[in-house]
Amino acid sequence: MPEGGTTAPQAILQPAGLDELARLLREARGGPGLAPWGAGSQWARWGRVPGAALDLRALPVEPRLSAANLTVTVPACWRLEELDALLAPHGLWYPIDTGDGGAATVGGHLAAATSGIRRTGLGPARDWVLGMRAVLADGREVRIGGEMIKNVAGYNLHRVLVGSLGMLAVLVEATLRIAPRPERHVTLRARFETPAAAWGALSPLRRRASTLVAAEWLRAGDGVEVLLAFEGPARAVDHQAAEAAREIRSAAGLAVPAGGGDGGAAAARGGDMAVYGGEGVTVVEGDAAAVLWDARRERLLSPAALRLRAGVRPSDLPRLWAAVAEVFAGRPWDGIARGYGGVVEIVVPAGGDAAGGDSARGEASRGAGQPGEAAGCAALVLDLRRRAEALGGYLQVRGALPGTVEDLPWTSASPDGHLHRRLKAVFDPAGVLAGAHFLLPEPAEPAAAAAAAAGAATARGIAGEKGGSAGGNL
Amino acid sequence: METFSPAHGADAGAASGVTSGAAPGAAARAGGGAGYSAAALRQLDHCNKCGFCLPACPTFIETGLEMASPRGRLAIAEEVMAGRMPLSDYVAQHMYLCLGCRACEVACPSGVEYDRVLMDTRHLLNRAGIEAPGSRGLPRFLLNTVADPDRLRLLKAAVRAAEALGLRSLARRPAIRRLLPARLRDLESMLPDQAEQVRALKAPQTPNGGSAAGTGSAATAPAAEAAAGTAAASTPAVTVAFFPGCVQEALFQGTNARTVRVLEHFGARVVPAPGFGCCGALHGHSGDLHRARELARRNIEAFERSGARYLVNNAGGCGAFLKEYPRLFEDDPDWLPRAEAFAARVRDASEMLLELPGPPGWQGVRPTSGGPAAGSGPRLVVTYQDSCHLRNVQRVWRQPRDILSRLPGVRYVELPGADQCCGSAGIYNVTHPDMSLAILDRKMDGVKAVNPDVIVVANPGCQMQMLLGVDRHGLGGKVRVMHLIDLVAEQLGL
Amino acid sequence: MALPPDRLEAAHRALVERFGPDRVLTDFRDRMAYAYDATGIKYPPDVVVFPLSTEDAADAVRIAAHHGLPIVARGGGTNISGGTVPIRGGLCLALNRMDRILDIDPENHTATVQPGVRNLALQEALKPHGFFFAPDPSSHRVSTIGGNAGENAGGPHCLKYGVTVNHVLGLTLVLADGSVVRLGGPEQDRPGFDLVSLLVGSEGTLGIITELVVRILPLPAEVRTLLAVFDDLEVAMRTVSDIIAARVVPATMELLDRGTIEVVERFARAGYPEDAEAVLLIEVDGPQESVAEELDRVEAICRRNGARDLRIAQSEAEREALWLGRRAAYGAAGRLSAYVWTQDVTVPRDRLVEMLRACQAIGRKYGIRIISVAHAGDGNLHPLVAYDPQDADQVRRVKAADREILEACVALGGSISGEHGIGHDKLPNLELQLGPDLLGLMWSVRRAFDPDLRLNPGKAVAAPSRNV
Repeated sequence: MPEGGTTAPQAILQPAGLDELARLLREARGGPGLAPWGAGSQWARWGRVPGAALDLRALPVEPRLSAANLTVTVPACWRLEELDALLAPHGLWYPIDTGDGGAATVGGHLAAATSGIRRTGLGPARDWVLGMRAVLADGREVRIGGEMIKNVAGYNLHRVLVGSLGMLAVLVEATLRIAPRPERHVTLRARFETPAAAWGALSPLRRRASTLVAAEWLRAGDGVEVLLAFEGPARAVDHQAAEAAREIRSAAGLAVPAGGGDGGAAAARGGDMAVYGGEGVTVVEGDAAAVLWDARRERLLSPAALRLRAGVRPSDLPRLWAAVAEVFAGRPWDGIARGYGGVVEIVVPAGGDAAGGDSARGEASRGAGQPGEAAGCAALVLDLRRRAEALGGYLQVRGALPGTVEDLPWTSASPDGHLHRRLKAVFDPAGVLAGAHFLLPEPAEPAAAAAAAAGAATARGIAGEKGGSAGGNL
Repeated sequence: METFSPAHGADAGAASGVTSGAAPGAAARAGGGAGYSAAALRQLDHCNKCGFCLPACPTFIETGLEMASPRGRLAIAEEVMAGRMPLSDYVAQHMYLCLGCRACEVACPSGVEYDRVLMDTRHLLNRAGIEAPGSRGLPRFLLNTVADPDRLRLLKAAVRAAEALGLRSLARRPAIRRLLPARLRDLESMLPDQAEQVRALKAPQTPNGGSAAGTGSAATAPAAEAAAGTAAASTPAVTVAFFPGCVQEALFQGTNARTVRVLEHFGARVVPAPGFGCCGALHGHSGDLHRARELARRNIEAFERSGARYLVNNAGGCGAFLKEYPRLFEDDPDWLPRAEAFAARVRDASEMLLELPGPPGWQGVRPTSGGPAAGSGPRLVVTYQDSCHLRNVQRVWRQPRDILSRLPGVRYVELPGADQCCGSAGIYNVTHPDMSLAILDRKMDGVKAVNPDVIVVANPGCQMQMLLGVDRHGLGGKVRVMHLIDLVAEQLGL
Repeated sequence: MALPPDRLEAAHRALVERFGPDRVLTDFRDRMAYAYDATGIKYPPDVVVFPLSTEDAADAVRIAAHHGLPIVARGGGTNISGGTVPIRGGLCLALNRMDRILDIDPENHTATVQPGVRNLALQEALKPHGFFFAPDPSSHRVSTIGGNAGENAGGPHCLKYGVTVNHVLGLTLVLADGSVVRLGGPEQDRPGFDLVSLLVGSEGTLGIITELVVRILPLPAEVRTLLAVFDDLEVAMRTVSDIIAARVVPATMELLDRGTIEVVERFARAGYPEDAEAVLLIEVDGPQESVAEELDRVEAICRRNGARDLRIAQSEAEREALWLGRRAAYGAAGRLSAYVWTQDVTVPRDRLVEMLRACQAIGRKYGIRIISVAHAGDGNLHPLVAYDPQDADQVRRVKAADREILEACVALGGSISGEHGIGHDKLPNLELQLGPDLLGLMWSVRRAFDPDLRLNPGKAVAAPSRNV
């Protein structure tokens, strides 16, 4: 069952119990490989579909909320919006925003380690996972970790399973840390003429602004628009957002209005969108803030022929951004970056214009698009990969319509690739769980990695394999 | 290469998850203890090997070797106690690499008295005829000298003579320095300015015009009363005897004389107390407990004769040993109570000053750190190097800083790593010049960072070592090294 | 198990040839100084080497592998589960001289350090930059960052800031065959499995950490410390839950029970009331705008729950004074008897009272004095058991009680080690918590990294018994 650009898996297996799941896994030995399948939102972005999917919705797993312990144990098939509905009445939440409006399942979110916009303030998703129940490829069920906050008995396997792309085990239940819903949320929007100016103004902010949980950069022509989210105790949020606005304005050479400070944020609270000070910096909350973040999500999820993720040391983000702009000069592209994380998601639209481009926003339609101008992007991707790696970073293809990157490996071969392969062999020696194997780096000798960085694309990339990782002993 | 006996792999409780095999002292006790005192065996029981002592230890900091750490040395003692490691040059090498600064005891969360184990081991080595490394020649001469008042007088005279002959300035000339053996070269730099010391003896404010110490001349009662009158005429003055020390008296008579003067200025009545000698610390630390006890008995008797309420000294190392005299007599029911009564009355000069009424206005002065104090004028930047035994044994560290912060015309700045040994450590700088200098050089980096006018010390060994440091690092003429009391006297115009 | 003398001889020669005599210890008396950590057992290594670089460590590992020597990495030697004791002899890699801070990068909130940097030395170096490294185990003056990572160390501030694994971004690793890999780094979301998380807490069984990139955090603008005194243990614990329920996440919430208070007062005189059933030491930190408010809320909850006394530190000196008793607990307990066994269990935090009560009951049952301190906000309990190892009957009772404590902890859904590690000490009890399947999986992971089981043998993870 080859993977391809279709919208649904050719076979969806829905075990009714753990016993049946175990039996399915045992029977799948030697087959084409299975992939746990939740909402399918990640697969949609990758532009891929697993040959045979495991749908876990029928498993009898009950949620358990422990408000006093600030933990919740939930079925992997739950959507994050369902989890939120459970927590909200208690004034609690699981604060990781996966970037798709809560449509993703807990299992999918954890398998893909989508850490979302709050990673800046709250850490990666795996910091919020205390334990899980998983079924191994041979059908045995294991409970890893638990509801305890601290646990150093044995290896941190639950953390390893976060981001394991469905390749190591089938996650059926997860125990997550939860937190009180923040008292106040304030979003600050600012525009900078260049990425370097953005970094220069924003870099010093983070030190003092303990309530700054998110900082996203969005392409705005040659410059960037920045969304900063402040969350936490009301007084601290108001004060810090106002201070941040003032600092950004003064860094940008804008006049600081008299009587600034907390007054600005207080004014902002009056309407749903009030402008703090002069042009360029606005402080908003409530629905107005939600509009901004929704718009960002739309751009991230807009139909794409090619999605790339590049990561560098955070202070190198302006250089990386400049490299992207240079490589994609003259083509439509959008960039959405985690400002303090050094990670940029690059979206090359399918057919139309990119949202952050210079030209007017195109009428993008949802669903599978056509490669359009993205066809034959392999050379560009390789060029950008070389530049990201020269900065000590990486570039990974995170979704591509057929033909866009040819047989270019989605992930560079890596000197630690043999360790990933060994780990895979420990968990799944028979290669039952294909998962999203195309995102895992292949082994490379250090010298070979250097050669790859120098532009010698190798044909042994796993993305080029046909029929998934049949028996895929990676 | 010696082979290792598999019997070491003792592991009593691992199978159940409870660690056992600890309490080596108890184990050793069962096996006779190899000559260690019960008190030392108890210390090993309480050492949990947590390692908190390691970063406090100057020799561990220098070497990064576990054997050169307090925990490592206790582990060696543990092997000796258990009869698994014979007393040997190896044991001596490690026991004498220790500075004896006892910073580890302050760092220890379990209150292990490391010094008891160290002293016992050195004593056992001494009894077994195993010499301390580097102890031949000069150190032996020093030990014999300080214990003997006659020889001490000779040393004093020799130092003066050398000064008078200009040998000092001669020895400073680079060409001549190169010809001197390293140890002598450094010793030369360490000698205090004798002319300055002698000037102090002749200072007009001194009514009895000489070293006030009990070795011979003593403060006269009328003078003491007159001095006490300056502070608190209405209340009966506290009587104190002054303990002059040996090295201090030989090289720093001026400091001793000023100490008496300052005590009187602060309201004490210094009574004559003849008969004090060396405190015995150097002998005790070198494993000669016999000689140490002899000296201790002499000093206890001298103090008892004086009838004074307190015994004040100005050398951190001596004071620490005086306060620990009871340890020397733990098995001696006759002397133990006398030693305990004695120890309870011992005070460092800085401690004593803060217990006295002080000169007029002193009580009202609030300690300041760096800020402008009452009365302006040129301000000396002053830093302070703790005496290890004053800080770690006597636990006196706040008082000298308190005094410096209250002193007019002084801006006190804390020396980074002030609580770490300077490398002097009794005769350590003579027995272990390389380690001593390595530690000193690290110390001087801190001094340069502070850039003071004066480095204040509270012990003659530290004073000599810091003089050497100042000289080695080309700070001569820029940075003065002064005893706390000397600075107090200078700033108060005494 | 022991190596034949000629092999050992050859290994010594090769190591001395590579590192010179000054960086290799072979004399058995010197090796005895590397036979122990803070656990109380002694097994000397066959040879000690002091690497100064990743290359040194890799060469040493390669030579050891060639001659069939087990390899144990050692930092400060403060481990209290026997993790750094070379129970099978072999090569001790003493990493304490790899103590350079290679980079402090305030712009990226990272620091790059060698593994032998002491935790406190890093804190002191970060302070002028306005940063700190969040993990702060009680051993932080002595223990090294490499050791903290190897053990996934915790500390009193985990409640708010998490444990070491939350703060390690990248590692340079020498594998069992002497090859070197870099894992992770300051770049986020690197492709591939999270091997950094796997390595942190692996207790030196998967590789030797020779360099770390760690996350550093800006120092909080303000820290306030409060001591609350309670006449009822349950009420004190309920107060912990109430504070969390009130949306306050203090940096730390430490609990001392009555027995601990008595011991602390006897030996350290910290000024805690001796007749109290429990004290809570609570610290809130953060921006000025919120700290005062949070402190008020904590104070109000304590009062509402009937705390009989509240002391709020008004100065750094007063803060130190409040901490004195907590810091002295371990050492003071050490004065009770010849040896003190520190247990380290965690349970979901709402089960902590049950765990405390279980310990008290077990102590009564076996006639053993058990006192407890807890990182109450984390559900992490340290029962302290003072006993005399020479008293065979007492040892027997302590062992039985210890096993029961662990069983009680597992029954409450907890972990048999919250921060001290499994090491050698708890290895026989590991299966109690993990079960044979998970333990077997971990064992396979270990063998995948180290097929010859050369790295820290007999520690951390064992083959499952299969007959549990």
